[in-house]
Amino acid sequence: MALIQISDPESKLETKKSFSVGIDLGTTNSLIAERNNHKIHIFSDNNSTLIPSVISDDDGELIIGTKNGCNSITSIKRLMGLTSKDIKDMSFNNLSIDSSKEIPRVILNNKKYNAVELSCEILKHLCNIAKAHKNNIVDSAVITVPAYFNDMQRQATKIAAEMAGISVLRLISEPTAAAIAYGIDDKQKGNFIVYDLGGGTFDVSILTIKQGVFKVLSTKGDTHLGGDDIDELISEYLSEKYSKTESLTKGELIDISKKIKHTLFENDIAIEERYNIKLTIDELNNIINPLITKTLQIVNEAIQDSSLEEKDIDNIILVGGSSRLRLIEKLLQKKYNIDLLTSLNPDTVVVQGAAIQAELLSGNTKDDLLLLDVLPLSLGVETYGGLSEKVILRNTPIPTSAEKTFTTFKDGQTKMMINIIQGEREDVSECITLGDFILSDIPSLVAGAARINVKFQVDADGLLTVSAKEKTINKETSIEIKPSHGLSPEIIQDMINMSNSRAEEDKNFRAIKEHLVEAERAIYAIEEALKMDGKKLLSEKEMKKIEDSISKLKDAVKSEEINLIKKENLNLEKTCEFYVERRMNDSIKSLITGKDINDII
Amino acid sequence: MSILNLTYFEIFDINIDISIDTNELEKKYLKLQKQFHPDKYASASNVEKTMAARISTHINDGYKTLSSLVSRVDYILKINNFSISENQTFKNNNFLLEQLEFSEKIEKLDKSEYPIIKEEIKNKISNLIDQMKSNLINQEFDILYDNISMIKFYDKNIKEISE
Repeated sequence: MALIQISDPESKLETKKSFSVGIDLGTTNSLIAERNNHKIHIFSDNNSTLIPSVISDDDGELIIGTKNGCNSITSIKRLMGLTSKDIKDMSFNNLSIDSSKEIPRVILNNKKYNAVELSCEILKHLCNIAKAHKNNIVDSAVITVPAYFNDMQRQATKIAAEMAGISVLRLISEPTAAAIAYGIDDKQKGNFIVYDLGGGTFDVSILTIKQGVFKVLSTKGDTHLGGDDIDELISEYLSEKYSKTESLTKGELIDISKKIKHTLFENDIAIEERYNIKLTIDELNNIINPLITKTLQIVNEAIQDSSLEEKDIDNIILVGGSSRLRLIEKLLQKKYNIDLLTSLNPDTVVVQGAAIQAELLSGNTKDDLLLLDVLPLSLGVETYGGLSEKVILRNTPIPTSAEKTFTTFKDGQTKMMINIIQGEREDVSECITLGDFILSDIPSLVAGAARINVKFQVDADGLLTVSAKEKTINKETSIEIKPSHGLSPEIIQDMINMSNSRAEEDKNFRAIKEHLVEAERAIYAIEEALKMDGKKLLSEKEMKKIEDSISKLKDAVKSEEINLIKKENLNLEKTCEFYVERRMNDSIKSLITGKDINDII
Repeated sequence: MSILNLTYFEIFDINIDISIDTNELEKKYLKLQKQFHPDKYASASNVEKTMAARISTHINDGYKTLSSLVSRVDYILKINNFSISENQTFKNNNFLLEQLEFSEKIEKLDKSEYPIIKEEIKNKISNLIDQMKSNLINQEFDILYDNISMIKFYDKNIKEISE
């Protein structure tokens, strides 16, 4: 049953076309793809669909995708959403980092950039590649993130996209995207382990695919474990075994290690003649065994969290460039005794899934696909004594919400601070702090009398919004706070304003288009709805009020005044809220009670 | 009346009971999410987007609550206006003694005996479930609260020996 079906009637905006894409913003490589009429096209640059996530400085200009000696930044994804405090004990190959401020900045040719800015540059580059091929502007995208990315890392990714002028249709998890590609393009079904070892991150998701529903049961991972760590291990081994390598810089040795690793994906021995280095597959397997064993433990934990048993697993999907290490396939096969799915390219499978989801969300296909994902890490608040009290547990299906009531502990207290954290550990200092939230305007009452209801809302992108309401007999105040992770809303806005991301005309076009499309949608949707059941669900007076709002919005559209359209859009939204709710309410009844349960699926 | 004010049992059209048919819950859950998940409104107007997000959240929260026995019974108590805060202290002294004895017993036991103990606890839980069913019919919410509190202890016991 369609609620309010949008068919985007012949829009007058079609004069300048734009389109939606899927983007895999990777540690080592990034990809951008489009799906149109069931066909996926991955855009390529310099004849390769894998676009290196490398940022170089070329005489003061940032160049993406090509390495320029030591004037280059790699693996910037590892810094996404982290504060200088977070990275204190981490090592970053080949990057010089200034961590004197709250947000760490990478130094490139005497200039400093944060991870969001650099990711924005990569995203802009990807969009330009797609634009050049299609002669069209990318206006919206599904962007993939590691399943185990926390709220800060997800927010950072979304901000980078917004700065690049991309409207984010949805952030989806990389393993989930891979499963979608296998489920839709390869028609697979059953219970899956998705094992995703990329350049910098490791993810595992357990999910069930059944009749177009992709239901994630559990997810686990390590956002700082990937191919980069393997290169590091190999280079340590080489520098111990071959004294000749002493003359090499660390970066050069890492490059050699990478090459050797790639050779050993398919061969049993790799030889580097210049330094007389020889490495066999057995040596490599010994070097990486502890790291791979660690990933298998994480897989095991994910299965336990999923409430499935090992025998219920039907298939294993391998994702990510590093999953080409043959030891992984060998160990997984030995442990679960089932064949591994490798029919899709592990480098491109994630962007394929993202493109499928982008086509679906932009309303350009009638595929019946539903993705039910989960929150990867528990959310909680700090309680007395530095302990964490969980408010939403990990692996809860999203969107989700939870409420918690706080009270004052002093007479006349009007302010209160809540520290919101993410992670599984009891000890707050082992979790990630998402931000301190200050509730103010609490009515002055005796200690313990105020009731402050804090609501945690996690949306379908896995992003958290916190709001608070003070409920006493006489007063109700509301405070809305958004986690900012050291980037205050003002700084974010500045960054967005400053980024000369697109030609000015592109930006204006997008702004005008967004509001006009929204107005068209709303008018069309509500008029159609009124025709269907306006008389049934509304009184004459209510009907009149809605019709008035519609005609005001129509006048605004005619005037082409952006601000007026915005205002009347909002006005119509408010006026219709109760009506939309009544319609949805009506539909839920027929959906659940009207039919035989056997028809339901 | 708004959907958002429907109880979770009403949303899924499932009878208020201690045990429910989880297959039925799952089927209705998927059916509802196919209609209301935010992805289905990604290109809809803002007013529909906002409303669908709220409904989808409500459905997920309901699914989560009804899926497990403990949260389901807690929820039954809540919709029957049984205020847990006033009865917060669980005063079943005999049971607390039994729990103390149990902890001592566990310490002395060999790991090989864990499966037997686990079975014992599971039997106790299923006995309690039967009791809860009649306590719900008789609207004996105080006793129901006692029952579910004991099950929470037993769940903890099972978790301890499983680790």
